[in-house]
Amino acid sequence: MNAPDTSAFLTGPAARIALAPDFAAVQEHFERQGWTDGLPIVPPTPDLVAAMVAGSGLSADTVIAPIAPALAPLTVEKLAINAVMAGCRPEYMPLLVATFRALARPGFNLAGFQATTHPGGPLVWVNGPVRACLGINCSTNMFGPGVRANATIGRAVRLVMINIGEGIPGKGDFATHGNPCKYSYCAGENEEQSPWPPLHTTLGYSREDSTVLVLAAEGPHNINDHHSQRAEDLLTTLADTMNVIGANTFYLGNEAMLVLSPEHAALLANAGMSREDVRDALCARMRVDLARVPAANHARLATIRKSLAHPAADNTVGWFDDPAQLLVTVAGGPGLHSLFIPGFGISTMQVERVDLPTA
Amino acid sequence: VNLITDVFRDLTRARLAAVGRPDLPVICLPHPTAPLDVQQVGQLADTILADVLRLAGQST
Repeated sequence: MNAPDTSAFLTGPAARIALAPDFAAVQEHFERQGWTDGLPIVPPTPDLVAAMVAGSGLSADTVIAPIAPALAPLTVEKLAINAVMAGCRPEYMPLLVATFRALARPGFNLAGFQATTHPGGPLVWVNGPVRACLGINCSTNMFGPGVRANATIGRAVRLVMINIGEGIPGKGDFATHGNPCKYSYCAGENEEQSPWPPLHTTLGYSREDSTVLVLAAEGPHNINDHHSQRAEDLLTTLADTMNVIGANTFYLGNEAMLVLSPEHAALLANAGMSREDVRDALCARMRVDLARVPAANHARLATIRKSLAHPAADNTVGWFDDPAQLLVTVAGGPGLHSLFIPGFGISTMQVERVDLPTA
Repeated sequence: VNLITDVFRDLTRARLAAVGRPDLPVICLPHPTAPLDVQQVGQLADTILADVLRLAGQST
């Protein structure tokens, strides 16, 4: 695969280019330059970019963060260009700014996540009033198509990772297969249908705060349980589905997310369980018998995740080192499906407050 | 000294440039190495040991 040279795009202020007012020709130009995710883009004309910058409440030359692996500085202007290309509304900008402040923290390991052979995308998970302000779908089909905020915020994140970070397939992105979640991966908690306080209130924020949590994540895996009537039975289904041995999180550690449907969450809450009770009960069940793990894998990976080298007397190890690494959330619409989202492993989740500009 | 497999050569060069150390030495091994057993890894290490020591000695 021949990766395009985008180095001119990375340095200095954004350049203006003059193209004929021909939609197809503009698309061809952007595609040839390697500036897209493969989908057509909205041409980032000066007026649209200026409106997007204004939506941030910041000046165009404000540097948000360097974006790995290229470590090129992401300015508000360059974020705005990519947000226009993705189809965002200007009011999405504060959330995007917060997202990149979180993604650029060293603990997230964006350089590793961009370049890895692992199939994952940055999950942009939103809590608080900003969900309603921006119209983020946290209910039916939240990870699917249909809502502009989810689709374009996630897409803008990917375009920045390509155009500023140089996460270009074959150049800075070496995913063996990739994953559809690399196109766009944005949703939030269905706080209104959750029986528990919002997730971000367990992470030191108040209910009135808006936050974005970024998780280096795989795509979601379905957990179907239509017939359990007791919390104990549902916990068995959830834990046994998540208790796999081939996931990065098991081998390397750090966080994974469980997205409970509101109906599954209600069954557990009606049994008197808090979010933390559910988390702890699942972690107690998620133990791997090392007889299931090929010896060569175990020998090698126990040097990375040290706890794998210290099984319990029954030769099992916990899937997580710390129950807090299982992020239990509630989202989605009606239905008896939940989702498991393993992580990249060599990355820790990051949370950032979203400050909306005052009107 | 950066030990990589050859399929990641361009990525490594770009990353070294991004962190301001394009001068750091790189030794490329044939991809993949994961299927190699311990004896084969040892043989591979023997073939590059002299280069690793030489380049490490030159690094600043």
